[in-house]
Amino acid sequence: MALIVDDLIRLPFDLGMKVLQAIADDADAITLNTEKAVREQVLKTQMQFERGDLPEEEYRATMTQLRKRLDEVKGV
Amino acid sequence: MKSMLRTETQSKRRWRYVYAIIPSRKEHDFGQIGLDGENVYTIHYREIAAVVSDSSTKTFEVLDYGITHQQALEKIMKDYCVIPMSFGQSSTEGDIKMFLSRNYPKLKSYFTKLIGKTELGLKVTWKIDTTIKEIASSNVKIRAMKHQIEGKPLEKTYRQRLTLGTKVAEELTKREEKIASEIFARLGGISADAKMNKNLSDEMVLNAAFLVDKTKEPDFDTLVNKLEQEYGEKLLMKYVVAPPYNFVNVRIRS
Repeated sequence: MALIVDDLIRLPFDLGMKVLQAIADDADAITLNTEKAVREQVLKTQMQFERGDLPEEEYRATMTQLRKRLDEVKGV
Repeated sequence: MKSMLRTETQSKRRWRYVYAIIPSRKEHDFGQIGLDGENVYTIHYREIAAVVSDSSTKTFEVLDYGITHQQALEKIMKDYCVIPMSFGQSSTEGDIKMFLSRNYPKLKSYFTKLIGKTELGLKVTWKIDTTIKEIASSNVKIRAMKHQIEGKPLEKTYRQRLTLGTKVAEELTKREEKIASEIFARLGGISADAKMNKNLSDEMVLNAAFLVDKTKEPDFDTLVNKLEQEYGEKLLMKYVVAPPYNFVNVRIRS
């Protein structure tokens, strides 16, 4: 029973988070379609890493994705 | 002929990539820890020094070199108090010396603030499941709304569920502000300086940096542990030592 009640509470929250994530993903898709936008994201990621906001593992994974994206927008 | 070759080589490697500024009169060789495995050493003006490596190029690709920059900086931090440089600061040796001399009083004042202290970056996040359960059981309005929805089909209660979700999120924000202020104030109380930064995710409660006297680091650790005990069911806390970017901002331009 507890699980059902918890699920009831979680559901709208999860839904809200999913909607927000979808909007964020859309926004990323829109903004990361130019070399300038990807470059800005690279610098932002570097800054977060330098300031200890991003663990090394996450930093490496993000930079790998951004490199891939950069090649895509440059048509490499 | 040899002299000409050396001059040509030196001219090709005229750029100095800067990792940090340190308080030191003594020349220091940090070894081959720089970009492209270059030797990292010091360029001095009075008792301050820029920590650099040689390069034939002024710019570097952050995607390739970002991690090396940070690793070199961390190694320098083991021996010295640093004014850290963000990635990509290059100039000629002459310009770096000029920068050090022109900004000498300002750099000295930064060291007065930083020497003997450590930047500790604290991230506090919700244990979201536990917190939502707690909100659901303790908030009267939310509990009542939950009872109205219980047992009814999803499609007929969609709007109420969204309203309920919004209420839970509002309650979460209210608690977040209160808890963030309290933790920030308590840890700020034993720090030389403190800065609250923007949260990096919805589940983050507090993202803050504290400049802590090295002698007070055990007190800081004890207080974090105490806060963890107080909020342990709801919050996750983690702090790391970081270069003091939050308390000094220096860029070298050429």
